[in-house]
Amino acid sequence: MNALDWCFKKSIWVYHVNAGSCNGCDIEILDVLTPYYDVERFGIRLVHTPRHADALLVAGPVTRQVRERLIRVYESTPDPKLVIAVGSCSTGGGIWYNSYATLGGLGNVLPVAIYIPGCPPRPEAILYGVAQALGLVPKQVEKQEFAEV
Amino acid sequence: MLKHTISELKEALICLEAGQVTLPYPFQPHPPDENFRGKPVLHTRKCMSCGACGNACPARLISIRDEAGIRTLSFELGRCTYCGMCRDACPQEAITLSQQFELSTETPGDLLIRAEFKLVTCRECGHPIGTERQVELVREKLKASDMQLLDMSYLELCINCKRKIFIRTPALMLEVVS
Amino acid sequence: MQAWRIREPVMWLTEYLTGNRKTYGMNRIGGVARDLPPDAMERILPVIDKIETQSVQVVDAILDDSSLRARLEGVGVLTTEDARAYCVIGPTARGSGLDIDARRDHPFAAYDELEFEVCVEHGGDIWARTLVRIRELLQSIKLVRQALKQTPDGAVMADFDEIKPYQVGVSSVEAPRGEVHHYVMTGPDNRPYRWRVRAPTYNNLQSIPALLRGQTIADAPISVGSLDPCFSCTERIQVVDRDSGEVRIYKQAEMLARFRQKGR
Repeated sequence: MNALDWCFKKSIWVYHVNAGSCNGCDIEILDVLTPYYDVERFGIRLVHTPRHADALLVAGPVTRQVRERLIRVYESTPDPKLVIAVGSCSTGGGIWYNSYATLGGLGNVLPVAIYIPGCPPRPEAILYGVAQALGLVPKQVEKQEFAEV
Repeated sequence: MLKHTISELKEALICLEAGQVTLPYPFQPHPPDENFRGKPVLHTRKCMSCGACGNACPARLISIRDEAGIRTLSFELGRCTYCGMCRDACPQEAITLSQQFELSTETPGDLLIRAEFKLVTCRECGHPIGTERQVELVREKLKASDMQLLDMSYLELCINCKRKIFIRTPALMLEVVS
Repeated sequence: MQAWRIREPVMWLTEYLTGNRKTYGMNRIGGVARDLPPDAMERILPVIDKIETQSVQVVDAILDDSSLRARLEGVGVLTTEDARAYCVIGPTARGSGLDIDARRDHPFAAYDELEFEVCVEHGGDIWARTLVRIRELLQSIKLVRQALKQTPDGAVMADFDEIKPYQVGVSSVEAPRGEVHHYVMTGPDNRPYRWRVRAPTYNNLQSIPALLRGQTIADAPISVGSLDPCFSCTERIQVVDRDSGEVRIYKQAEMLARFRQKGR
């Protein structure tokens, strides 16, 4: 593992984008920075421009209006970057999955590294998701299939 | 100036009093409250695949399909909002919302619950009646009630054949057991 | 940060009462989805008592902080005439001397049975809006205590037969940022057919030009932030032609002309 990989695993700087969300996920992302969950102890901090960011935290089903701006933000973020989809709306469109005004989730617009479902996901779930994107914790969900033979 | 210093001291006192409140979350689990609405769980032994959950779901992620003698119930939980309406609608209490909230994944297709149930077909015309559990449920309810079917093989017919037989033998098929 | 620390127990309390920290899922047609658990009083009252003492302690500490006041007083001033002209609502309006509150003017839910005070300040600057919000926090605690004492027993949801499709309902309630209007048209299958929200931020953001006039750039973020804008609630309309797939955005003059034409 070279020096760059080691730095990247330790402290990523995130830029938060609201792609049409109701703000619930945005407030929970803000909650991760507050004293009880304190993500800054891991060196992860919120930055104010995508040019300083290592990861994009995107919340919301991507609305038509925001799509070009979102792509512009994605292109301004320097490589290597991670795109993290926060919330059920960016995972699959939420309840707006077939609305004429949204594009049905982030997977249809950007290459996503990890999805964090929840409505809104708890701050602990967001921490877990970011840690999973960095390869620090294992995945906990799996398909559940039952067949009556 | 003095007032300002006093207020700064008060602010410092508040921070000192609070101390360290950070939860040791990733290193120790922080389970949510027992009322927390997390990932839905389907108890397949209780489910009678009636589809009430599918009607109630606001995100319409529950689908029921009959194909080749199998009824498939699938929940695509990628867009679930964890509202609990499926749990409220289920007459058998076969859906519960667990406490699981660490649901992050690289592939939303992993958030899937699929259950396949065998369909029972009508002994007259071969049309599907319902799942084995549904027929079993009717049998149990009748046993537990005051009414008794004169001929229990009536349960193995589809609704059209039931109607035809009822027309042929108009005598009450149900009698009250005293 | 201390304020966020004080707020967290409320999130845990709502998780206990409703199952989630933010999206309570309590609204059902005819009432609410679930009843308060039997030990609600024992859980809720200590939490709000603690929040009250801690908030009062924080407010007492910051009131005399001259660096905070220098930052907030006299900055982002919205005069009463401008506030009335731009039709701002909520704490933004109450901080500029307008005495409006949908809980008192158009009472909904049980607000006509509860006593509370509408907090109005006359400064019009960011400090006045902050004071309005602080006083409203204490009023809310008072409201919660009254509501808990006066909650009657009985069913939580009214019985109804069926929801007729294509019926329209409009309601106006007081949200933390002001008056919010919802328009719902019911549809077939007991689902909504059309739903439109006019959020209070939509009004409040219109006053930003008046707010920022004469300020330095460094004061701009805090002035906009003092309106507590919810940017998700602001949308421009894109018109999509379903048959051809063509998308266009209407400019203000065109939209006004269309509305006036329709109204005639």
